[in-house]
Amino acid sequence: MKSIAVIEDNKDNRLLVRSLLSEFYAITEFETGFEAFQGFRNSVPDLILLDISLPGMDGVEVLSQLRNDERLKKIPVIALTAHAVSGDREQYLAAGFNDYIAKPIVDEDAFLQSIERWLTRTP
Amino acid sequence: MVDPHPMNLSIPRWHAIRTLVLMRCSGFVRISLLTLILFLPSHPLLAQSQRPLSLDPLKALTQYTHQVWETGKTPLEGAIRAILQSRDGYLWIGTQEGLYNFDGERFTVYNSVNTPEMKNSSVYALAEDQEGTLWIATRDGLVAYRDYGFKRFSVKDGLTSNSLLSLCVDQQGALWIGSMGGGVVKFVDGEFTPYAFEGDLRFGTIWSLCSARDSSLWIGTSSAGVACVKNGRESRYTARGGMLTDVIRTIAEGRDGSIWVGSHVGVNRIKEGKVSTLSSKDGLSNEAIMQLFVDSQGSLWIGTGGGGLKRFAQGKLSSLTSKSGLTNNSVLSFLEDREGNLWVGTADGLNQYKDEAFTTFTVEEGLSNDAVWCSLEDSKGTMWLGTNSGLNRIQRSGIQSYTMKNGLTNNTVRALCEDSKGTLWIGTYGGGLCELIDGRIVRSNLNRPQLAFVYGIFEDSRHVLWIGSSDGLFSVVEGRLKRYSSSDGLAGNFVRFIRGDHTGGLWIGTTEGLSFFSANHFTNYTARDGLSTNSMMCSYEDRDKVMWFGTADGGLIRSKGALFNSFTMRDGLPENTVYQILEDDLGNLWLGGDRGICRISKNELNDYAAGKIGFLSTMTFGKKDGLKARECSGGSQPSCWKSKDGRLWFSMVKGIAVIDPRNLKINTVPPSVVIQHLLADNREIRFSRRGVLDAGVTRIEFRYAALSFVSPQDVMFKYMLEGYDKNWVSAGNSRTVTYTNIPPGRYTFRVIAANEDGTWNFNGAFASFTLRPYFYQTTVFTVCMVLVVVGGAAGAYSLRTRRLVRRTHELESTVTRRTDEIVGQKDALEHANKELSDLLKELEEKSKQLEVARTRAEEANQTKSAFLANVSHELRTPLNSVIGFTNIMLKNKAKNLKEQDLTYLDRILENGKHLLELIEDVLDLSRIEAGRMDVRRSPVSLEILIRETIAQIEGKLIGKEIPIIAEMPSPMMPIETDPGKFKQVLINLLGNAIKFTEHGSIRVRVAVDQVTRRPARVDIVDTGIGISRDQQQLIFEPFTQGDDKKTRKYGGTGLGLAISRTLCELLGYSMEVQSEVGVGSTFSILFDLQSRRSVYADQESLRKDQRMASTRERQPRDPQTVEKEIKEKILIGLQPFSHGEWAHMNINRVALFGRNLNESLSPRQYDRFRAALSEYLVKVQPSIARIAQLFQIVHVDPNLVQTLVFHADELGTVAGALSLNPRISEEESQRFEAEIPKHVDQLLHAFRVLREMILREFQCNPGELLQAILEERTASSKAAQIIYPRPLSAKNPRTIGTNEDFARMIELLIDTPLIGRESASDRRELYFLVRTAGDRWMMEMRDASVTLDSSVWATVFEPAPGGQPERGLSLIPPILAKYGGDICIKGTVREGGTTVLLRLKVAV
Repeated sequence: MKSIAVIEDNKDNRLLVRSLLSEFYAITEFETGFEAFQGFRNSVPDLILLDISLPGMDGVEVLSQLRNDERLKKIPVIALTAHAVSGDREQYLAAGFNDYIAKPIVDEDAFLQSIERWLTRTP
Repeated sequence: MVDPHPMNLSIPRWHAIRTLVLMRCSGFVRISLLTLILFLPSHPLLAQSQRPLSLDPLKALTQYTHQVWETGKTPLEGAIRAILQSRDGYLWIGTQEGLYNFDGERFTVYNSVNTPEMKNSSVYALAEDQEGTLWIATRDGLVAYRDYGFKRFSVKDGLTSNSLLSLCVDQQGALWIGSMGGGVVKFVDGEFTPYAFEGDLRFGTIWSLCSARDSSLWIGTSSAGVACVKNGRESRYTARGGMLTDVIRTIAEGRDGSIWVGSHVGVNRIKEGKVSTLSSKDGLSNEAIMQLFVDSQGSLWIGTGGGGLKRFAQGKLSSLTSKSGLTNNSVLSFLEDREGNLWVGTADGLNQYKDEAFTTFTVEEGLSNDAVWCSLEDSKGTMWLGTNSGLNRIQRSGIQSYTMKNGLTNNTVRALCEDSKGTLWIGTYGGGLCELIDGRIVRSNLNRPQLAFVYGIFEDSRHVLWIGSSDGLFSVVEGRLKRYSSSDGLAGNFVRFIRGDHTGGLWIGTTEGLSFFSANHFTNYTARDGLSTNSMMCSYEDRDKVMWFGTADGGLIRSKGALFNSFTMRDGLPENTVYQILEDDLGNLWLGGDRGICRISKNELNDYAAGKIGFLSTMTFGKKDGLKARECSGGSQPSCWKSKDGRLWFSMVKGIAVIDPRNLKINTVPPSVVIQHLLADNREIRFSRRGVLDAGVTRIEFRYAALSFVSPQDVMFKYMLEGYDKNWVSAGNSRTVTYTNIPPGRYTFRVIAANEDGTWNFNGAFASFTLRPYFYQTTVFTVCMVLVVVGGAAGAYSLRTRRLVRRTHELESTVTRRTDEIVGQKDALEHANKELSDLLKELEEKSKQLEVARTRAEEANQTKSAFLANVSHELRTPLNSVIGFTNIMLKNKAKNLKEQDLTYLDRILENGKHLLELIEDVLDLSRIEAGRMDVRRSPVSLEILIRETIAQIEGKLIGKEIPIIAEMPSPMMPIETDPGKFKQVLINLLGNAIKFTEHGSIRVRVAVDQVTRRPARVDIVDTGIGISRDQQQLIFEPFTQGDDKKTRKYGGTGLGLAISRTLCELLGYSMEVQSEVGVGSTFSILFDLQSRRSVYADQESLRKDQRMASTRERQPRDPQTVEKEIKEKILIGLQPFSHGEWAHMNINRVALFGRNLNESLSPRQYDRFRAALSEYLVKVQPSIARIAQLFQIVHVDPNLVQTLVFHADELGTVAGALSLNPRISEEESQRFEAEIPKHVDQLLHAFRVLREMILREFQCNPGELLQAILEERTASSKAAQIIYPRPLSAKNPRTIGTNEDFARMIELLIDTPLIGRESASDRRELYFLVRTAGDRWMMEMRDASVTLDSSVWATVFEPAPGGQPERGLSLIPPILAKYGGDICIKGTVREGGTTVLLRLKVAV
């Protein structure tokens, strides 16, 4: 079972993601970027779902740290965010996210497809 | 009389001090001083003359200053029937031809042509009520004017007749209206009530109404005499009761409460109920009286129908006719204005009579001649005047003259002297001496040829009579005459005056110097001794025993013994000729010369001579002060006289001018100041106290006036634009001021004015206005937008949430009821439910947080977009849970939930999704409205766009059998639009069409302009439910849909159309709807307004079609059409490039380049550029030479910044040949057209090369460029006087900067409004110089008009604080820095200002 790390400060949203995905993937949850990096010392996930509005270090910062870490740089990172005014998608893709899913997740299938697509690309 | 003010504070000096105070102080100190000054009386002589300059009844009518505005020669037309001064100070003049507003300089007419309410232009009477409404009685109705608006009342409103003759406002404020045949109507509280006369008099013609101070109303009837209504009781004065007639024309109340009544046969007076008659014995002949008026002095003014103007004052009647300049002998109306001027309206113009400081007696008042040489008051108090036609004696009873008939030896009398025995000696010009003894004139036996031309006679303290003539000085001792001449030591033989001083010595003025005769010895003083001239004219010994001498060309000379001081024009005198000197009781000298009379403080003269003060200030009097001519007489003795009553008499070439120096008739009425027009970018803004000007207004012009009618041309103004000007700016007499390029903000324009005597109205007038920033610049707007967004979102949110909550409660209870049954899933479900309700609570919580977020957003001054994103984020996060969990629950349906639960969950999901849509739409709309949407235009094919959109939306058609048909004409030009936004509009419209259509079809129809083939409109036609006419108005409003009940079933946020229309407007299009319920709707996007006319086949397009057809036959075509078509082809040619990044960039750059050139080069340079362009194209790039011939840049359309507009050449060029020349085959032509993109590409390349070249080639010669800019500015600018050496040296070195930069710096220097401008005029004096110094060039600018410390100057170049955008002069240093230049500021403080030397240095 592939592992997915969810970095998300809102517990409802963590629960939701877990509810949606736990059937298919091993989910680890982190509330902040700091926690996540601590967790990644022990195990590296196959994919990261990353919220943008995080306390302390925000999603874009987390991403850039991930990309600067030799061990973690290859992990696909999908922005899962409520920042969804026009232009946001382009902005986050430009920032280096592999994909972008807007909250609320209306289309679950699209969400799952995106995750599956990026997981299959990892060697 | 005690002078309440220090002697030395003469008026002019007082003003000078005040001005100095204002100039020298700054900041806070200035404000407090100004405040202080405001509380001082505005004029030191205020205490002396509180009353306005009303007409002195003691003066003869001809002694008033008279000014006329004749009909025909001025805008005035028609007989003047009424004159009124409204409370704001304007004069209103009612004539047969209309109503005129007069501000002293300009007339504004209101008549039937420009004012529909003035149905008939003929005005009979005017009145102003207590609210300030002006009432106008016209031949056809009553017109009210107030606040720039007119309203008409007629019989329909309750008047008894539309033909109105008289008006009056009574003491209670009621308006009374007298009419032709309709009697009197009273207008009070908006209602007209006919007045019921006592007795049988019903209606009638009422020519006159008069409200008396005792609250009685006097009505002049045309058949029943005068009716007096007092306390509701009426009394009548008729012919039977002693009145001249029962036909009354005019009524006026006297100062004493008596009522004057005028009729066609004369004047009656009603005093305390008794009737008397002003009859022929009073001097009144049986003349028709047109108008009576009593002025503030109690004089009764009588306007007659042909006999001119008459005044009854002091029991005497005097009259004035057209012979004395009255415009017409039919006098119809009167007004005494606030300043005391009398206005007289006649059948042929307007007359103004003013009383001035001087009273002049001339032939009109009975003098025998206007040329008066000398004046003297004898010991009995009789005034004697020597004129060119004999001697005149002025007494209260009249003027008596003595000429040669009475024994004078010559009629020109130039010298007078009363000796100690009471004999009046008369010196004539050519006839020697005469004596007046016991009223008879006797030729003197002293006469001899040398005495023929007598200039002066004087009796010294030892009773020796001295006579000065053109040939020597004579003394008479015991009847014996002794002559002194230059051989005896006299300075010259031509004697002008003889005067003794307190020492007993004699001063003799001659044409060759001054002699002092004492102890039988002459001591002479001439120019050689330091006198300013030898030509002496007059002398005066003042109360301090100081001798003063007047000269012909050397000004005034003061003598303290042998010590002389002269005062000339250089020292501040108005002229160097002094013929007459007098001293008043207030310590002033009065000097008469060729240019009028002037008053000067003796103390000031002494202080000046002592070096205590640096300038002299004088007060001058001329024609405007009552002089009939300004030249005084000189070369006679005594040329002027101070009579025992303190009055000063000056002999003038026209009459004798008399003034009472203690009553200078200073106009102490502060002038009303009005701001008449406010023009924004030359567009008149209807003036109101608070106005809002649109963003982008660059030029604001104020026109103002001061309503002072004594001497409008001498009114002075100062103005200040608060928020812009730091100080008052003196405007002189100018009545307009223009501000350009003031930044957005709130301003108050204030203007104050002083009348001709320096009485300021410090309150002045003001107009506040707000110059709007562009909407996206305002904080208010930001806050509003935020509120709208939050309000909208929160409103919709709570609406939906409430429903959600209700559902949830139901859900919860259901769940509870079923807990037992579904034990296995109970926990999970409960848990889920709790989660859900928690979430919903959180939703509410979030909306509260939103409010907090909003406040935070404001506080942190976050940008709108950030806030909008925030709102979106905050709303989406909880929705994520709502939708997500609901989805999960729905998926688990088979396991545990009942059918109804599923329905509920469905509803939650649907509503959640709806809420999401709503958020998106609201945000979209807000963003569009907040201007956050950038429009990115590019040429696109409408066909492709539409097909893509249809493909995209077809998903929504699932379940519906409706075809979407696209109908597109071919060929079709691409359109310039933002494809994303346009698509959104199409999606919205198509989505709507699909949503509301069950059967039939949806058509997307494009119409193109028949000529240009450019898309004109897109129609989306459905066969859906339709929209009722009422609803059509509303559907574009946010949160509305068609019929509520019907559309509920169709869902939607109700924002789609609002968004679509807003987007359309953003793109510059408009949107329309046509619909019929049950038939269908058509939504249309119109690309431009003209398309409404030109799209569909009409005459015009038919003709165009014919032209198109004829083209195919190779007939010559309309060049304009050809041009248009070729333009279109070029656009097609450009299209492929515009998609590619590279070409797109180039187009931009070229467009920008072209525009910059236009702006930064002078016309001459631009011509040179174009010439160079053609040359380059021909020489350097032969391959595109053809293009060079083909196209030339005309301009860059500012609306299509990204598109170059090419101009196709006319017939004869290759381009013309292409389509017009029958010899060129169609294939050839087509091939060329196909090549156009390639040509364009080459052209772009050429432009790029050119740009480089131009930048090299046209680096400016600063001298030349400066000159070009300055010339242009000098021609166009009124405000700045720019002085520069002409021509600027052509040898100046080149700058290394580009012309844009250089021009920009110069323009910044010229245009930036500077603080501290307080020069006398509002013109800036700028001196420019460009020169080299070593390896640097520099430009120097001296601003001589700015009073500004050089350290302050330096600050204006400092960068704007705190990251604010740079503007004004602070933009210069960055430009200079580009070239390693710096600024050197050197201030030179000089008298009256600071000259700033600004040196911009750039190393070459």
